[in-house]
Amino acid sequence: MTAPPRIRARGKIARIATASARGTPQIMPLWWVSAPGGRIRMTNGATSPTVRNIAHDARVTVLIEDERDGARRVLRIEGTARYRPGRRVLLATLLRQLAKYHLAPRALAGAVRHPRRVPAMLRYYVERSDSGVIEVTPASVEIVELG
Amino acid sequence: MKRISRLVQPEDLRDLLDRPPRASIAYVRGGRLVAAPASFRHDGGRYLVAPIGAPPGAAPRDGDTAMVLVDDGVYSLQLRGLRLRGVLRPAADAGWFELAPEKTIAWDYARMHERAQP
Repeated sequence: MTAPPRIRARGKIARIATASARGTPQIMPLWWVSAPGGRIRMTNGATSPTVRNIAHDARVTVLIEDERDGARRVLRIEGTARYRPGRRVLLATLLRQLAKYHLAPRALAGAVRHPRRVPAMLRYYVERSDSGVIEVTPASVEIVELG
Repeated sequence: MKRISRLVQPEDLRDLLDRPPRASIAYVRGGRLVAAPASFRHDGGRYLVAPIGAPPGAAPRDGDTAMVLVDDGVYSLQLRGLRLRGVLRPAADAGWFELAPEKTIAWDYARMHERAQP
């Protein structure tokens, strides 16, 4: 069995596309982190349309921006996804997200500039603590040049 | 019961529609899910989109249902965007489609507010 292609991209937002049981497309932006075996993981609510779609059809496409030598491009990653509701994988993913997104200098600067928005933001995440992990196993990676 | 919501009205993100930093599109063609980056224009209330780099043989067609995502930001308080789902119709410019939205969802994490649950 060949290992999934390794995803290397500078973009911090993954735009994951799925299809419902009726064939209705869905695409939404999520934070992403690398996972063992070349996989990528994103957290999402258990009842989100994306998670419901994956339960019906595991095929997904993920778009992640990248930039090399001044040229903008998008990685189009086709693969399969599964939803993992377990606390252990969720905690591992959240810890990686903490380092990548919440403790990044620009994130901290935003919180310092707008301290009154922080309580609502924290409450928002606590109210949605029923999240799990969408784990994508890439099958192919294609580069789309944006020019 | 009230919860914190990030949802806003599409009009609240007019600047994002008029100057989108990026856009993406997803649709189903021949039973295959297709997603691609896209060019996007908001022109007098019309939503115009052109996929970039659609796989060969998988370009969208008249009547396809699509979802277009226009979003911005990386960190929590920067995140905002719109998702527009509707039917694609060919526009005047080659490769462009007009999306007639059937459902629009807009969000802005910088404008989180308390909202009664339905």
